[in-house]
Amino acid sequence: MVTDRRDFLVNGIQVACSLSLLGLMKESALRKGKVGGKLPLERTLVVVQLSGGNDGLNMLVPHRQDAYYRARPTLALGRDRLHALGRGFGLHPQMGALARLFEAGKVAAIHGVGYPIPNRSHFRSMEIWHTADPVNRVRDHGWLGKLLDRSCEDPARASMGAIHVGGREIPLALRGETSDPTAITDARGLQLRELQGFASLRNGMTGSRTGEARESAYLRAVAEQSYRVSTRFSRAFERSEKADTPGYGLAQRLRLVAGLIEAGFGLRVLHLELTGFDTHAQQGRLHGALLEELSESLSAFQLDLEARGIDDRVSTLVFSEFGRRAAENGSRGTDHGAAGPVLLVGSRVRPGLHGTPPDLEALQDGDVPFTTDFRSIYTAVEKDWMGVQTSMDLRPMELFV
Amino acid sequence: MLRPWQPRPGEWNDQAATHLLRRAGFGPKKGQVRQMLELGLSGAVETVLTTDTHAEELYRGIEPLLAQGEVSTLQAWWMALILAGGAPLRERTALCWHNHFATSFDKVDDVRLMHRQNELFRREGLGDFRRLLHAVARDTAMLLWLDGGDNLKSHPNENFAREVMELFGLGIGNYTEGDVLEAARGFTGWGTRGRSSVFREKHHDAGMKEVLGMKGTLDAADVIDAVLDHPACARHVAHRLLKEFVAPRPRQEWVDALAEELISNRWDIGATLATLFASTLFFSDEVRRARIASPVELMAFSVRALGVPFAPKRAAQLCAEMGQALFRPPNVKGWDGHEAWVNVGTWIARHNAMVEVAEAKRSTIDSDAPRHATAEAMREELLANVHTPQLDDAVGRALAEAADTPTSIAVAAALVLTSPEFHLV
Amino acid sequence: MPRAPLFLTGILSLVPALLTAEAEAWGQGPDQSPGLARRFPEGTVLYVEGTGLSELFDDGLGHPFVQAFFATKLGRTLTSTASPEDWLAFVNSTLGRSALEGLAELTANGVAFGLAGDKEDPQAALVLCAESAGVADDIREDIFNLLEDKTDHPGALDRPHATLDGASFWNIGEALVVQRGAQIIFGNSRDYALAIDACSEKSGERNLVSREGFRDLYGARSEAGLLWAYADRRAIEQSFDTELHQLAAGNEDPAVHTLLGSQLGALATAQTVTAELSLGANELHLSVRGFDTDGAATLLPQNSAPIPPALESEDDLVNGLIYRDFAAILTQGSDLFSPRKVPKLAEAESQLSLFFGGQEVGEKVLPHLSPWLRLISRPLNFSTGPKPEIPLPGLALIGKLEQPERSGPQFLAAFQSIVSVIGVDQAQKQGRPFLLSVGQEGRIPISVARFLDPYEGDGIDMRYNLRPACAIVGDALILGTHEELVRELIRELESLHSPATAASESLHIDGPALAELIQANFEALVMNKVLEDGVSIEKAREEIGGLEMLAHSLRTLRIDLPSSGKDRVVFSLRAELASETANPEEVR
Repeated sequence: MVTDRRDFLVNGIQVACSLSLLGLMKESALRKGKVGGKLPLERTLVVVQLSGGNDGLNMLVPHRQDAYYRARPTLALGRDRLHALGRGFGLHPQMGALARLFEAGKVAAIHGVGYPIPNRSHFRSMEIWHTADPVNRVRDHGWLGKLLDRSCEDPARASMGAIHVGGREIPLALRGETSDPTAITDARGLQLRELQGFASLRNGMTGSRTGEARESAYLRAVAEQSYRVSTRFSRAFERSEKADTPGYGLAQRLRLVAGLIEAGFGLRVLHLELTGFDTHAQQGRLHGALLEELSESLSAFQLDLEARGIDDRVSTLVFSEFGRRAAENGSRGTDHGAAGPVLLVGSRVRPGLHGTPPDLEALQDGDVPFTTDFRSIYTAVEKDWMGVQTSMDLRPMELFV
Repeated sequence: MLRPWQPRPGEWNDQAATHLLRRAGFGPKKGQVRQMLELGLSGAVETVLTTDTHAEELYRGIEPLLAQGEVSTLQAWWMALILAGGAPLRERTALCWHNHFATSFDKVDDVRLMHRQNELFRREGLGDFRRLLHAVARDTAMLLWLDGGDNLKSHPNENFAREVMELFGLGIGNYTEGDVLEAARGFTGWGTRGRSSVFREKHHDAGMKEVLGMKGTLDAADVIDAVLDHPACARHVAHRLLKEFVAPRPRQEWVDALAEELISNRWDIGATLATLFASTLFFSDEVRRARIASPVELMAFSVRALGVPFAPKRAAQLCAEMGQALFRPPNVKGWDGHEAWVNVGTWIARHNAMVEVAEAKRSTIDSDAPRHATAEAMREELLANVHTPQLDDAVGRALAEAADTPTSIAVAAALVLTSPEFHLV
Repeated sequence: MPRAPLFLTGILSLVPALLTAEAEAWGQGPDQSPGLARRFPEGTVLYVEGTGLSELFDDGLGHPFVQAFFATKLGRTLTSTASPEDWLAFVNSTLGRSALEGLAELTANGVAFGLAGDKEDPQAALVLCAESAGVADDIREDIFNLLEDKTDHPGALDRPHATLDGASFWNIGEALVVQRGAQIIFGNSRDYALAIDACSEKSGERNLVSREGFRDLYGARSEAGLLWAYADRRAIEQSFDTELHQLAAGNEDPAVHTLLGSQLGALATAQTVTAELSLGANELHLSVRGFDTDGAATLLPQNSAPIPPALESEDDLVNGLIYRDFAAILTQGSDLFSPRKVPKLAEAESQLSLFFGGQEVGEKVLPHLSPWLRLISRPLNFSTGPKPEIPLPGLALIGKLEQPERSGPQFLAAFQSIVSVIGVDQAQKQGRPFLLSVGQEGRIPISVARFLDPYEGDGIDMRYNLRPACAIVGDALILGTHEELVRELIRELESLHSPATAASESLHIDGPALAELIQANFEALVMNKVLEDGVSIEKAREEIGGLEMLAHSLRTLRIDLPSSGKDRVVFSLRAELASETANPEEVR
């Protein structure tokens, strides 16, 4: 059942672990809709990380502020080219698809998200976002990993898992103490290689073996589970094979994500990355191309989810490790800044612009100061979306309906 | 339990022989089980211990390629040595040490150094463990890996000392934090210069130290000796050997017995293994099929048993996909192994790898040889160690159904190779 | 083709997907001998004619090219156990007749192959026009006997299964053989074979020649050619759904334009393609033409741009002139290339900008560099530094600068910036430092970057092949992978007197130099093969040895892309054999 000639991303797979042993033995991972709580069905969070420091001011443009045009003589985007969102903000000209989603009430944008004492190192700031800890240096676990650890404590819940799509390394955010994330590069990581006649003979071999050794039973259980997982995934994945997914790398990966979610074997968190946002020089063309990729891909993803009928249970969080400075630099680019906007996309988000809009007359050190602590968004995701107890102290923002 | 096993008539059978070959090497080649049966138990063990010659050209063939700096080439080369089977026990032991003294290319970032370390495990791995430990403590790759590269009097590197005690020599609980700090002082002065390890007197803390009860102006070699003298060391090594060659969770009696054996053999690993392989413990029921095969073992078993040519580079790549990238263990603890090898994701990778090997079989089937005989012979070889009624039945059906087509033989091979039974060593 | 008889696939293997024909006789009068195209129906999308095959069979071992081939190292090795005559005699005795004579007679009045239909129903046919009906009968009977033996059906083809209007028909499974007089048609599909017969017999039928655009192309083929082919690439792509569309997608990939050039990118999108293969006294010439391509006019070679001077040396491994309009690639990228590739391109531009001090590279800097670039590769002696264990040839680019007083220093400064960035990166990874120095070659300043020498005993890694250098000589910019080569080129440019000549893309590869390169890295290549393909060491040695011999047997390989714009892209490949008894007068 290997999808032939489909080459979304770099070849190869690297896998860690996707379901805990406990879950396997209970075989609960594949029971559809097995819930212990109030939530109707498994809810999934998709996280899209924009690496490099996305220039929020040119994505969500404050076109009524003169200071914007003064600070950016060559990079500023003219009001008439923007997609107006109301309240003095507009989306970058190449984000038409996202603007349409916005109009359909599927997008929430939160202004000025950051944390106290901004850190301008890519590495450190991303670590902060991944671990939700601006103070201590935590290197082993991330907020999503811990979220999954906590969810697993509740035995009534189906066993959960997280997958990073697009590379071999598990991002820090997904690492937990007991939960086991997986990283796959493309669909082949979950597809079985087959020979003619093999599947039917293999299926004919099922059946419990009495007196079987523990190891053997374990292997058999895992094997049978994998075959089920793979079949479900392949069916779900092939479904949109004919669909018109845009050629962008991110769009292709999101299509894979949609298939994974639909296959329904208990995935709670999926993580993806879009790189290239560190635009120190000649920002215009590059940033535009990236935002276009982001906008088209998110839009296609949302439509795909709606077509599959699962849009109710998926929300997408888009963030970057920091924003960029208000003023452009001498190379027609921008340098590392502080706060930036965060996007939430989905059918159950509370649409519109949230938080305090940045005021370019009141910059701090040339940067947009943060007005929303990113952890209040995380808390909202944990409590209101995933239905899990939060460990963070902040009040959650009202971001979901 | 380390007494020599005296098999009763019929007990030295193909299952026992396969067990020996899979544990003390990388599995039987086509026809090898029969050979072993004819030799008898002691002859077989002798053969296992003395099959120790790599094809010269293959072995040295890596040298011109080291300059390229590609770790995938190094991985492929080790795989090639394993698949060729010139020195199975030596390579198996080297793999054991690679896991024990886990060092990753990801940080060392130098193929020549990884090769040098690999050669160390190969040359000294079946010899005196003391020599091995001393040499590892000075290995450049190891120094870089554990940041022992800059071990100064003013800033002794604890990481190195801790891992030497915790992971390499003694195991948790057999030393104190004080020992670690003192040992770190002993290791000061060692560093790297280019690809060599060098000792710089001026950075060495020559003061009085006490490590694990040993007192004096201890230097690195003295610290290692102190570790070796500690009773926990022999047990720690014995534990590793048992884990690799016997069972994933060795019992305390076994550890103690093997530790004693190790000491009485003056730390000679080869001699100790010789005793182990001939022992009742090794052939006991509890121990047979008790381990889940690692990816490297799996690839080696399947390729050798089927006798198919398989590109070493591809084999190494498949191992990486199954979770065991040679020269790149996930962290300093190495690969946990056993159940950690298998979960939904890695099972799919195992399945796919085994199907690929089975497909390779299809293309090598001699079109002129009578098909039926080929199928029967293959069935015999593959099923030697994995008899179960359902498997026999399914394999039988596969062979019968499409009669003599190469595809059905490949399917039969695939059935066996992807069955849980095959993955238990 | 699943239904084609075995020998058809043999013929097919002679026809690469793209063959274009370009003969010296471009401009020769229209319409040579009528050729066999008229006999093929209009729906034929691929047509191959063996214009000169009969002559070749006739000449046999006496043909100059064949002789030259057997005089090469490769030829000699192949015949070391038995001479070509012996091999031929062996074949003849097996067949019971003279193979070459038979083939010559069978194709005396032409031989052609055609393809029509689509993926579900591929239709192919081979048409042979023998010397006479008698000869045709003879040889056909021999072939049938062979088939009958092989498939164990003796006598099945002794009599025609049908005759009609002077033609005889045989069914072989779904295939059909039609003989009419001296013409034999072997077709995998009844319909196609019958259509060919109809076109052959009756004039006034619409046939291949009436296909749009075919006539002129056909008329321009050379008499001296061996094979001539025509392909309606678009139609083939549509009907057969092959990977041609992936090939064509290369035209939207900036990487293809950068590495292979815009002409090759355009060629893959041509509507129709013709190809011609011809054999000279000791050279083989293949030329491919693509018509009505989707090439971007702005990226294709413009003769008006200045050309860097020509530099040639005996030591050259590769020497060529290429056209790469990097400025246009960057500035027009978003219009010309697929949206999937644009972000990467934009990233490259942004990165380059950084090295050029934040300037807009596409608009401000690159336009000062002419798109015509000389490409030179030579083996190195490594006299100026440590010799790597795996020695690679040096590679250099020579460009022509506009306003060199201003643009020159910009490029030099960019080179230095890149070196510093790499240096910092190395330092972070605790690698060997990458140092920059500025020296002189004669009166010309040269910027050189090098890795610090390795410690003794540490081995000399591949990285020591890299000792990049940059220099400006007058209005020429030289950028090379190794200082040694750049210094040589500076000296050559300083003493140069002849200006550049033709403005068209070309590339020469020197066979013996290539062979030496393979020899220098023989064991490494062998081992790589062993590990990569799983073959035995002996087999790998054979294969690499074969490769070396092939390189040795070629004196030069020359690729030319005489620019003509997007309507007609020409790719010409000439392989000159290095035979020991080669004719001193060179056939070019």
